[in-house]
Amino acid sequence: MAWTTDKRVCKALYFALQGTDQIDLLTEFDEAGVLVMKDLLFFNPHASEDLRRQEAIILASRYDSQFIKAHRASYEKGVSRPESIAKMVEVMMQAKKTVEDLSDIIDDCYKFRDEKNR
Amino acid sequence: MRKKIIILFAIVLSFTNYTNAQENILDHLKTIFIGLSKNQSDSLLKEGVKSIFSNPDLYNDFFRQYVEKLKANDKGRYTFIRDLDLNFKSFQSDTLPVALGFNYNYSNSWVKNKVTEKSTLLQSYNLAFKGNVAFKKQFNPNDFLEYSLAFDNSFLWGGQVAELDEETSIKMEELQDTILARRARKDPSFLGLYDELAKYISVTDQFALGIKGKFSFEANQDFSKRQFVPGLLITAGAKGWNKNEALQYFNILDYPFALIRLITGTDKKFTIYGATFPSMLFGLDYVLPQDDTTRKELLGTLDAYSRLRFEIGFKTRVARIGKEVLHFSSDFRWYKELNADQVIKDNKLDRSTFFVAAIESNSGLFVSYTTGKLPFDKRNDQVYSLGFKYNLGNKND
Repeated sequence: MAWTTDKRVCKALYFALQGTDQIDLLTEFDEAGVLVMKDLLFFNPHASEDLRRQEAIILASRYDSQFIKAHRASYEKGVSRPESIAKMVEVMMQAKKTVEDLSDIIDDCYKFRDEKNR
Repeated sequence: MRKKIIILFAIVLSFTNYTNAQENILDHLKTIFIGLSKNQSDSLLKEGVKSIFSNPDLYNDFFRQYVEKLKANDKGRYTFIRDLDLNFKSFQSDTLPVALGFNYNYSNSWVKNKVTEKSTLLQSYNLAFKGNVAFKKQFNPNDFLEYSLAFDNSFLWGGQVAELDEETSIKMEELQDTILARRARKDPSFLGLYDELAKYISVTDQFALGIKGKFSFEANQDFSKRQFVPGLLITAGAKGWNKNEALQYFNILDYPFALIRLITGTDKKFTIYGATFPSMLFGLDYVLPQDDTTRKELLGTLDAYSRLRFEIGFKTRVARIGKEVLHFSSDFRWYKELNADQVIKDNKLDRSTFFVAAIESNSGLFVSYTTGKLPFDKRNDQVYSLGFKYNLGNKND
């Protein structure tokens, strides 16, 4: 899947990243898609893997809540809240995964309004 | 000899991207070397070889090209190598010569889920490798490798976004679309709309507590010292997401950076980031030394001992300068052997502290400072690193 303004999941992630200060407001949409995890604020490359995992879990949990309650997304069939969080965490733990990679995983776990209306 | 020098430079320059610049430099070199004596050109060649092959950028270039070949030919090995997060670098300390080497960092996990109503419990098995390796091991100032398997339980409270009804949710998404449209046509009024957007998202502060059983194997880079370390770790973290609550203001480490962001115009007003609250780790390890000549010489035995550990990590944004975003990241670790023998204390082997701080840009430029020692390090060193990290990328995977 491409990083595109045609998909609500990409837009929801872009604004969630800005709303949690992971990227600043001057980061353009196109630029955000190619950023890697270690470019985001939660990813401290010098911390132990134990601390990084905790940061990723906190952020993934926050995003899950935002997608479900503010965007009124629903989980894809057979996917639960802990599974969605865990899948996001696995991407977030890898320094070289991109924001676009993260949006792909989120797309696999959640059904946003544009998908529901198709 | 002159030909050798020119060939040497040609090889090195072939790893850069600037074809015109390469041709110009080679032309200049050919002109300069015509007038040199044999001794001069020998000396120049020796210095050239030394300078070129002690530069981590050369190895990063070789490695980047190797990974790109793997990407086309061997998907499985490419994914592993990419996730290994390997960076060549030079170690510079105040007591040791400059040493060339690399650091690596790999982690993977298998998740086991648990669902509860108000809080979330996540369980996972995690595998990780991490370390610094110098090509001349005696010059490695951060001589510590760790391999670990852990069972992690993470409890989360808060971080809950207030539920929007269908109509309000649609309005919020329409506002997001308006912001993107204005950004696309370079209309600067988009910035003002972010305040309006923030009103739609009401979120509580968030707290996390992790309890982890961990089994580690620690060693120096030639494995002449090694030990097994089962242990219990507790991690704690908080995020001041709610702008109306006081928690964010307790993030005191972010105050100097908030000031820099204000001065540089990165933030419109003095803003403490609730998202950059430092994370902490407390641990109790039971160390089982397998081979440690220093302890053996001092104690005569390799008895097991208990060790306390503490870690705090912090990362925040420093400034945006044009397209470059600068981040500050730091980590402090403390280890203390419990009930250590007097001879261990006298040799200052009962405790160690380690601190690293770095400023890094999105494009890969970084400057870092390290002080103290990790277990197995022989001395307290101050290590400075300056370099460029390559993002190998995985956009299409």
